[in-house]
Amino acid sequence: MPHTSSSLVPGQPLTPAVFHILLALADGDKHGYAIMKDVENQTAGRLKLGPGTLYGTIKRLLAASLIMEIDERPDPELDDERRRYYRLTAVGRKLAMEENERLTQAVKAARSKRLSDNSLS
Amino acid sequence: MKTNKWVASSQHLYRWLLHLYPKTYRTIYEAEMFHLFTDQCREAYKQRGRLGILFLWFRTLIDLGITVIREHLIDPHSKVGLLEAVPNAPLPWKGVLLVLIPGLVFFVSQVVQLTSTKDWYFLAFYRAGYFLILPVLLVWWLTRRFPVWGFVPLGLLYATLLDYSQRLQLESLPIIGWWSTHEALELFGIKMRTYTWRDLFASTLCLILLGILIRYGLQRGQISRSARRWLGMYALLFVLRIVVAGYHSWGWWVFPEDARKYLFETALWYGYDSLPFLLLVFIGMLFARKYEGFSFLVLLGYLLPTIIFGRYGAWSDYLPFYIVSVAVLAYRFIVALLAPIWLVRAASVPSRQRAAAIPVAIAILCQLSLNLFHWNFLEMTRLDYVVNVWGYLMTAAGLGLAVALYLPAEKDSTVLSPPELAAAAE
Repeated sequence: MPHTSSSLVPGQPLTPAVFHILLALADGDKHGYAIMKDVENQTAGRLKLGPGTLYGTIKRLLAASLIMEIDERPDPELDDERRRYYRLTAVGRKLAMEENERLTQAVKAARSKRLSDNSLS
Repeated sequence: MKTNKWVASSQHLYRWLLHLYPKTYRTIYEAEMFHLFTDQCREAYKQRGRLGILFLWFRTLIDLGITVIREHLIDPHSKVGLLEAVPNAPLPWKGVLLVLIPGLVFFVSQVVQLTSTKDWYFLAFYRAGYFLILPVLLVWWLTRRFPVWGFVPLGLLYATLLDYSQRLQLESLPIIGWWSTHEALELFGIKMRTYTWRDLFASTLCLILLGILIRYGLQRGQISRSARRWLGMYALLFVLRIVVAGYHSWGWWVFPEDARKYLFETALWYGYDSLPFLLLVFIGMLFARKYEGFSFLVLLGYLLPTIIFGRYGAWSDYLPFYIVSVAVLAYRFIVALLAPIWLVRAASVPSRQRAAAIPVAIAILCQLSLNLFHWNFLEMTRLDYVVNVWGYLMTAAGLGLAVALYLPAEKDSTVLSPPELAAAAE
């Protein structure tokens, strides 16, 4: 069995954890805690990643080259040197865009069937 | 930053819990996870005090439970022992502990059964097979690999289902119930009874499956000369048992015209009694290509729920209870704990052969000795003894066949492996 998660099978929808972590890194490099807080903000607190889920997913994203670990520090004066920073790769960005496209299509389809709040008003 | 007592205690506990993750994973992410958890703790305490810490722990423990299992399942180093086994190498202790779980269930329930009037043993005997297979199937489904610790539950489930099928009341079933009790039905001029149909169906199914598996084994060069000898021995014992039991039980010398009917019914009766075990031995052969001697665990799982009740055994009416208890516990200890540990920790083919043969032989002798006492008090004839001991001899022959199939001592020169067959064809 390849050491990639079943959530990273090409052509398959991404899991919420994977998608939101990619999204968190889309606007800049972040360390683990910052990613976790960003995901919490993106989802209005609905998705709270625990340390195990976060780093387990990061491990698989690194293995699939969707993100990379970087040595640069955004602000070395303020930052804790023990933290690791992660950056979205071009492949990861492409995958996040594809997933965004898929989700947009799904929302569009839901609206056309009057399943969203907007379509009811 | 001044650390709060609750935060500090949580940090200590979480650092300790992080040891549950695989070592390779810990090496890379332990410090990061610890820092992240510390940040979470501080924030939770700042926002909601102790309650915040409690809520955080609730979430964290769920996260930890799921991710620890997942990381162990996918960790390349952890696979050895938990999912896979290196042939001819001892199984790591973490794998041994998982292998022992079904045996522990049976051993503990047997101790409880002997020391109190609680009937836990019967719960284990009739139901454990169904529950213990669930984690095995889950892991198989998630990883697409049959875990090495799944062999004992597999054998146990087989034994449980077999026991259930032999107790099944056919008359209560729709259609089959009518069909099986319809007295006008005859086969080869023999009037069929309810359980003759059941035995016929089960024996025929076993024979067909056995034929397929034996053919498969021969094609893949898995049935060595030694295995053929054991198979021949099993077949001979089977035929002789039918002849002796048929002669003894039905006395066709009195009614020679019924001999065919008695022989037919006896053959089916003992077919259903003996062929499923032989079938399981050959099912184990399917795993032996990859797991070699570890496949023997399937048979240990099959032997686990053998009917040896102790407090409720018929022999307890004739023997002092402490003798029954010692024999029962010795049997259970050997089959449930000693044999599996010895087998999976053995480091070579000869030591694994000894591990498969010696403990099981002693366990069978334990049960046989109890039965001999029992039969003695039942004032059985010499022929009764022979017929009953025959069953144990057949089990021993089946186990010998398993050792020959799963743990061939040396490569049989008469059996060619598929690559050799291809080379010979060229």
